[in-house]
Amino acid sequence: MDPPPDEFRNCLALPRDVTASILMRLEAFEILTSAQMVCSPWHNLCKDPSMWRAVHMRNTVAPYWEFPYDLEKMCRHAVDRSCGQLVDINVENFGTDELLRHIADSSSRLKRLRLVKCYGISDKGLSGVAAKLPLLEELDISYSLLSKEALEAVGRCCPLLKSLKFNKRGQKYHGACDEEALAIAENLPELRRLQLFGNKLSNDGLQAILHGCPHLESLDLRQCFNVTLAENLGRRCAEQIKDLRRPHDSTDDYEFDASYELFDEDEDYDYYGYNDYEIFEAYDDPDY
Amino acid sequence: MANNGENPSPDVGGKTVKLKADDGEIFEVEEAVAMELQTVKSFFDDDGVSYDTVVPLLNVSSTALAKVIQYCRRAVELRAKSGDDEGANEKAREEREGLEAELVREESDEGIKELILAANYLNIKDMLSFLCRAVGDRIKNKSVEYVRRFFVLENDFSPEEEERTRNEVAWAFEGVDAD
Repeated sequence: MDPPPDEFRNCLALPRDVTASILMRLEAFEILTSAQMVCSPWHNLCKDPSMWRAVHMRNTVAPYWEFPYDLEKMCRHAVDRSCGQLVDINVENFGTDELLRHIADSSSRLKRLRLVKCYGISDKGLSGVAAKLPLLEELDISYSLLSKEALEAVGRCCPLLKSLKFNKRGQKYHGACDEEALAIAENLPELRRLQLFGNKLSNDGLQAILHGCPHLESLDLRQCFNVTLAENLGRRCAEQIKDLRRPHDSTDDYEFDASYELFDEDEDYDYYGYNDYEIFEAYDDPDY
Repeated sequence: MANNGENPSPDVGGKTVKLKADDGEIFEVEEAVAMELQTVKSFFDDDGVSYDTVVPLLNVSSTALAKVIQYCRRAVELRAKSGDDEGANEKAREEREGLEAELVREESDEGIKELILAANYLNIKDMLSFLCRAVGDRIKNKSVEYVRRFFVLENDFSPEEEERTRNEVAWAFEGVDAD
């Protein structure tokens, strides 16, 4: 990034690379609608691909249909500005399979992919692009419609994957299901960090993970209510895992809403809002 | 326990280094702390430079240098506290974050810019990083005019250029179609 000779001398004292360091902390939205309008040296800086190695677009403000900006277009534009240098992208509360395809098509060097609350992204969508992301090291697909199919595809195509977050809303007294745990155990042997908040896995699934992911250092099993870490399994976990969060551990530092559901009804889940039946705002009370 | 004064006596009997700010004020600092400033480290890495040499830091005010030294001293102490123990590491990390927050909270906009320039010139990676983050936070969600005032920047776009720049992202302001 060679600075053009005179441009930055006019901007009071801050060298170009320091300005870049500051602007890179902003969300993509702010860079595109505010920072690049400040003056022409900043405008030029904001076009530099190195400014777009990490793109953060977290819509935490409003439901996506209320947001007055076209987030999808904005995200595509941000990705385009990276000119293939994108290494880290964080998309929250919007996003479709088409956007994901665009990201994957242009960013073979992607290492960190966070797609949280992206209900427009399907198993087919993620499975279809996994092969384009061979350098992927960290994946967060929490609060999505994705299932073991996506996990298997990622496992097959991303041998460097070290960190996976696959968090869901906790469900107490629902039946156990080890599909996802087994998909992880069988396909992601290099995992160091795994966060499975609210997963329905049982002790069997946990054992499979401990066996299939021998390098695991950090494991978050909070609100995995079908896991009971008694005796042997508890001991094995404690020995193998440096940073372990147990099912009933405190959720104070959890970044999302930690309320969970009780009882499995026959109605379909509405993933876009709250369910029709009662949702108990019960926090970590092991006696519930 | 090292004090926070500007010219402390070394508490481990180790070497000290003298740093000179732009106004000539001299700061005597423990070697370990001085080496946090990569610029100072490079100065002594050159062959034949004796540790008695006063390091001239022409671009750094004494106010800024005092704060930098204070931060680096605490950072070195905290790093010594952490080790293999998860708990100790966690505690040290929290304390460092508290230290950073405190430093930043008390600073005016002018002050924080001065610190950034000092951290950049002195090449202190961690300090520069959290200062940039703090400034990023200060300009988040602020108007273009606010940002200009903050950095003392002039709008050097011609009206046509300004219009063109706005149009570059006009598509971003289109409403989202209903599904």
